[in-house]
Amino acid sequence: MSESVKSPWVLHYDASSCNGCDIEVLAALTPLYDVERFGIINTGNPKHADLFLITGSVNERQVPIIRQLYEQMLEPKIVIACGICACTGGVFKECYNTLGGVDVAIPVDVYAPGCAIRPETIIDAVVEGLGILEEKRRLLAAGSLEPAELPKQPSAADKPVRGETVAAAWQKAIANALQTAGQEEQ
Amino acid sequence: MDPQVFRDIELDELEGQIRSYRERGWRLANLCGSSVGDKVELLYSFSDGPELENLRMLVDNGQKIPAVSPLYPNAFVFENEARDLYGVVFEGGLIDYGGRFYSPSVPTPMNPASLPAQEYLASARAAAHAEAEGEEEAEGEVSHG
Amino acid sequence: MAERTVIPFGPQHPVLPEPVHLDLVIEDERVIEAIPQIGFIHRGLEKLVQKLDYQSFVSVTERICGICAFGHSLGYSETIEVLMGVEVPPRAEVLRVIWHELSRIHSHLLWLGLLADGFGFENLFMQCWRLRERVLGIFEQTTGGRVILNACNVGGVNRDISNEDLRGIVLILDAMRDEYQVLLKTFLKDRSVANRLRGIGILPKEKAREYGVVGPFARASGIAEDIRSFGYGGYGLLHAFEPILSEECDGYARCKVRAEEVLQSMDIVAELVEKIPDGALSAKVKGSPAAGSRAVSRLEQPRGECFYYAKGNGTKYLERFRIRTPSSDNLAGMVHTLQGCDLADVPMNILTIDPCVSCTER
Repeated sequence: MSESVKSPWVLHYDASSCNGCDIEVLAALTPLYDVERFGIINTGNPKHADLFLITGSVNERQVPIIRQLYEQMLEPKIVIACGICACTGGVFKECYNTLGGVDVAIPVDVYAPGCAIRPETIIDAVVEGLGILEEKRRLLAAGSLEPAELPKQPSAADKPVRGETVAAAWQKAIANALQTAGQEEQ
Repeated sequence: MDPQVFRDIELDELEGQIRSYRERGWRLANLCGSSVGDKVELLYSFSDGPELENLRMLVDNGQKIPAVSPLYPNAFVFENEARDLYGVVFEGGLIDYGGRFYSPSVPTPMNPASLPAQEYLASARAAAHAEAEGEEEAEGEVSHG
Repeated sequence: MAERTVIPFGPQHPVLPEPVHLDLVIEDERVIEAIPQIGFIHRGLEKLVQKLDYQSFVSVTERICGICAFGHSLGYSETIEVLMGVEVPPRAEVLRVIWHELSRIHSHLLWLGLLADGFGFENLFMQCWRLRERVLGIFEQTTGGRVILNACNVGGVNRDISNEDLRGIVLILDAMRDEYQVLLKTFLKDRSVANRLRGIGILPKEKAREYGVVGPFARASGIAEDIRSFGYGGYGLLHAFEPILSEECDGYARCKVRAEEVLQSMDIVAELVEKIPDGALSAKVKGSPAAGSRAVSRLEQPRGECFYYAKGNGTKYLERFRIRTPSSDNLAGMVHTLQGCDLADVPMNILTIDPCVSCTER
């Protein structure tokens, strides 16, 4: 096994989380759960990181930042979506400004659910991710690791909510508001 | 429980009211909009210790409102927020982000009657119209061939 | 004359757990102006009141911010109770305050830890977070959740803590108190800590008033404002409440105010456990908020005064719900303290003010 698999370094980023999952990510690193004893260190530098722990749903403004962080990380790398918002958008799925889970911006390797995610789940997800990391490392050494493809640049306005896109629903609401206002004037 | 004091004011009283609260040393606790039909209701809340008073003001969409942030700097956040979510334009604010504070995915998502929302609908309809015409032309060419 | 440069700060930055971007205009090493750019966490949560009825919306308010989760559900419930004229049973009010004060202990310890991490005192960071886990343990035992508690609803609380368990909580806090005294001594007496905090981000009292700052930020500048001192809800049972103040107006003062507030919250919990009345946990809430009804309410969150406004329209969906969080009020003050500080002090400056971006943008 390579050193990165023995003691992977972690980059944490808050996509647009409520902080609940962020503090649990930090709680996993601090005493009681203490994954640092396995050499897992939280780093601020994407070039140093092997695991990308990302929390929260994604809005349009975040997409280029998340992609930049992802692209700065060196192969082999693993993306872990922490918490239900990062997996699917969670309670904020229907909000006009939310695109959905992290996988709208970058490819995700491990989905870890929970609201807020429990530190145990994070540890399980990291262990799961290490297997994939090792596999990627092997492929990279053999020269056959294909870089994962980024999803198409998404737009929150095109996101379907209850059978309609956000944009279409909003256009309908505007038309309705204008109609009622017109009637009031008559 | 906080006191529930709500007073209705008109736009021309606004500046005098705010100045009077400032001079008495009250702080601005909140400024927010809400959509009422084709108008926007602005709520200004002032507090002084346990005292709390709310001023309610109805304004037309597109009406320019004098900013309070020169007197109450903490209002710059609320003013830019009201602009992004309700399309309320404040004049003379401390930091004006010009509608790019939150950059919501659709214009003024909390107020369907705002001017930016109306423009958005018009341009979406024009785009849909142009696309439909484009398709017709393309179909026409195929049938000619 | 020195040349001016703009340095972007964030949104991804090692000292910030949350994304906030600042454009720092600097001259040599001195910050001339700081312009915050936010919108990275804006979700549009306030609009969800049109899709969820007023009872279900409590669970969304908890997710405004994971650090003050219980506080937001409490503030929201109190606002709806005013809106609908609901009388909350006294036991529920006291239980709410106990959970809220425990949240304050957890939030302040979390912040003290991040501050220690910010000035490079890794050990102190770990110690703070180690102690904080005890409070999360209490949360887990009493509600089942560590972060999101789901204990508060409109009308009261949906869980009880038995009187025996309440005494157990006080024992846990008493044991914590001794260990916390050691940390407190390090924060307040250690020379290397003082070197990093003293004179950072000074906001004099009159400026603090002008910029309308709230919470520990304001109290560290000598402004005696604390919603808890008005005795609303369960706070009315306390025999006395004095806000903790400091006149030093700098980063050290903000650290001191929060560090001492942890002890104050422990005292509040202990006193309320002695005085908690027996009785019902929740009042029956029937019907919907009347059309045209409005209510405002304030709550002292760990970061300061939080303002809630709700408007009914005769249905079970609210017309409008607004949260003005303490951090959005403190933003102007933060920008002011950044002007004139050294570039290297910017992270410390931001940390001592502790903006909660998730609250600000919702």
